[in-house]
Amino acid sequence: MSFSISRWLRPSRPECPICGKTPVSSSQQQLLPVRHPKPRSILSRVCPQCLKGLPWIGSPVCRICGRPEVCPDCPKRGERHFVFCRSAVRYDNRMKDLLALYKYRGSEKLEPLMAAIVASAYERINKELAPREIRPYFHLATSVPLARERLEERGFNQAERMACTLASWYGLTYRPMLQRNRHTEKQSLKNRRSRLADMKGNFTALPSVKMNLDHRSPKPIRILLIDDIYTTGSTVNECAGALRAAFTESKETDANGVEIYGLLWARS
Amino acid sequence: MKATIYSTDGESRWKVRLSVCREVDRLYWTDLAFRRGAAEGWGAAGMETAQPSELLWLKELLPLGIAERAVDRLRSAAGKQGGAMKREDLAEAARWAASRAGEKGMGAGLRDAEQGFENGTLSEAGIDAGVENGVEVVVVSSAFSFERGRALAIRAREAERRLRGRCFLLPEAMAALGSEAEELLPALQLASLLGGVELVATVAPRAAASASLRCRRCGSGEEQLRRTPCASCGRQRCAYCEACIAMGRSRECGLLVIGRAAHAPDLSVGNAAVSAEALISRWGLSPAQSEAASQAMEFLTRTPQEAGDSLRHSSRLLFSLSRFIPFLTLRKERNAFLLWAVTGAGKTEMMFPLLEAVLSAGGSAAVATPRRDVVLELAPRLAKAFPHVRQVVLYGGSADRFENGALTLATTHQLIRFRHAFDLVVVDEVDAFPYHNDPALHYAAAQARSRGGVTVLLSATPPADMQRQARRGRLPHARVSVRFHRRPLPVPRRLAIPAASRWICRRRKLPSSLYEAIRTSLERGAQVFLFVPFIRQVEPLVGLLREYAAEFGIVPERVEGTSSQDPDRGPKVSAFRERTVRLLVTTTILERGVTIPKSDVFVLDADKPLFDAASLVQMAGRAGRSAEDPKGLVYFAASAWTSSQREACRQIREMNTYARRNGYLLG
Repeated sequence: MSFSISRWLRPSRPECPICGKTPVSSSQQQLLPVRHPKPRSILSRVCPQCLKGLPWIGSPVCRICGRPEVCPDCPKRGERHFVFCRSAVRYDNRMKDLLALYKYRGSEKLEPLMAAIVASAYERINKELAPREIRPYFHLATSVPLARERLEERGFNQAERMACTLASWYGLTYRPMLQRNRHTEKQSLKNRRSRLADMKGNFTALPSVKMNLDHRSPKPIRILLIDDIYTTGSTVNECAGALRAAFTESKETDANGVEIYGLLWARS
Repeated sequence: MKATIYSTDGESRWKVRLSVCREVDRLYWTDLAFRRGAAEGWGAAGMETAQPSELLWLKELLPLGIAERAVDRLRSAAGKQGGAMKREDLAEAARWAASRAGEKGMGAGLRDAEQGFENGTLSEAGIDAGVENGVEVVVVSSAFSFERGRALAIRAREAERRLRGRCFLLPEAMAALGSEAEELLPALQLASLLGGVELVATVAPRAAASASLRCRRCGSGEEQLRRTPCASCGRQRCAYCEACIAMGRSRECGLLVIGRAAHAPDLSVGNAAVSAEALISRWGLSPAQSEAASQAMEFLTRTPQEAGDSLRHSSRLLFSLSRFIPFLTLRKERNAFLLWAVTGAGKTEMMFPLLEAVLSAGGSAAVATPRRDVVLELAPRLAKAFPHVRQVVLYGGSADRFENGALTLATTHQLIRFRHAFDLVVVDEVDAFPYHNDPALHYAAAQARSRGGVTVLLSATPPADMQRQARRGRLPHARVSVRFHRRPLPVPRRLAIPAASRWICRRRKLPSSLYEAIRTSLERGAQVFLFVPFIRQVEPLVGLLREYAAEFGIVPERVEGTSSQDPDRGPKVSAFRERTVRLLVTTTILERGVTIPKSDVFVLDADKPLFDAASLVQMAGRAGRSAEDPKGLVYFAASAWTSSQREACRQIREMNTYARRNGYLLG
């Protein structure tokens, strides 16, 4: 490398968190789908090419699962325990690689970026439900748990990490509320039917959920359930079912006293 | 993962140990029959270790990294006390470990008791005092214990054999040995007790009692480490390494399995006198090639004393100065030899005698190249040269990922999974991505070499600091200044034309001097390389040249373009080689490792900073590679004549002068 003074005087740009390269051209004021300054600043570090590659779900077509096209699965579902779900991005090959890098390879430096992407879906849910509300609309945020063996192997629960970061940005109250009863095979290796069967009764609410309920609890309690991928919706539905069952058992609330919304990183 | 520490009370002194599978250690030290069985299964029957009179266990499991550091602390404390260690010392170590492990502010998910995480604090009475009293050996089931020990030791021996010279993360070791963690850990623990493998934390302190950590796999320091809450060990700040994450994640609480160093043969015996003539006749090398190869051979077969002497002799003054002036510090690389051979010199052929020397002495060798394409191209050539040697080909996603063989051909990254394995490591294209400027790969290459082994660095354009060291005599090297056909390298000519951006898209007209030069090249029947700096220029330039095809006297289909993002790159390059494509527009992706007989080279926008001197020399080196057409034409077409272009021309001329002076050139 030859000595060049212009190198010293040039403003230094941060590396793109996705491709790791320093962007050559300056990214002008890009249109970012979030308003909160923290996720905004993270997304503004992404280089223009990578940002173009993020397949944002601008407006959902299926009002239930948040899919950007007509959804054949939602009408088929038996009992739905959640109100609706929204996802931030489409699960295309690029997003598949990104998630694999974070989740399976364990590149935890991607954590703020992943949370920043989810933040766009969170802001959209908020806009749909309570556009003028200043306080957080949701009373609680929680995430889909991992089985203990998987958690020990991986070292972290990606959904929980995203949820915690999101909660700290938007002032939500994060609580672990669920546990996974069985150690199932990886969901990504299965088809729709076996996923549905597999998920049955796989989750239960933690005892602490019931203990913390009393007459002062708001009605209905609105819970935001966070996970990384929505494929068939069976995970979200089972988790929501387990939470609802827990709330129904307690005297303070009934089945209508709890509303569960799903927030997902990607919709496949 | 978590581990436990314990100490055995031998005849006179305490010994602290680390265990990742407590049950194995308990059996080994308390059950005489198990121990005898293990010795027999291991192949060391009759090996008697003294029965410890007492075992002290730490009740609680500790995160692996912490446990290892606690062991180190205890050992150094015991060393200070003359080997004597008291029960209080273990308790003290436990308290220290707990204070390190149980940090405040546990994450929400980790704090929850129902998820079964312990925060790592130890009770005051954290020690099972005298639980295992060695005197009360259970005699009843001795036959069963013996058999159990023997069976486990056989598996441990198998693991030891397969892991020799390797360095694996636990998941890699599981894949290599084809077993689950529950089965593998006991075998590994027993092998480690018997001294067959080393079980350590992957990220560990740089030095004893040092606060800064280092990845043991790739050598990266703090700046590449990131600390995150970890559910495997329960710590809030468990470090992992980001530098080598593409090869699996290395964690502070992750287990690194290091096999025993592979057996190193004495290369100085039998190989010492290999004359240049012998090399010429056996491998068909040219005089310049064989002279360089025999110099490298001399370096390879020198005795360890010679190696030490030469270093001490040459650098005593520098060494004494380096204490005061830090930048004079000698490079730690003492066993490297640079083979500085011009493009088209036949570097691969020069490797053969070196590889043969090592392989015939019963040693093992590795050839590391930057790209997968080169690995795949080289594999059949090496297999043909050494038909009786077991060859392993490694790259991301290759089939024989965990095999062992005498000759390993791999992409540079794969060396990270070896430890003291090779007597000879050949690193090809040291000045290219990814090896160049990646300290992790330098570390990996150095670690993969056995203790007395040698690294041979190959390059046509060594990085500036390496050139400097070679000139100053601090890096042993041999220069091959002439191509195998013994004709001078083509010296680039300057073609002053406007920047490509001005005429590719806007004017859509080739500058006349460029047009003339391309037409002349095509008319003389040469294949034409057109290098451009950016991928986005390839398409429009191909379009423009196709418009000119009729004037060049070729059909438009004979003009093609390729880049790193082109899935059809392979077919296009072979079409170019077979002359169905005459004009190939490309980026720097083809600057190395491509040999096209009878070709001319045009570098457009050669003044762009992307093209440094090394890159320009490499591109110029695509011309005139065959004996039939040794005088290829090279043009640097640019609006400005930059220092990189000047430097590239200077290097090429210097090599030609050197060759002429030494009489390597024909005619």
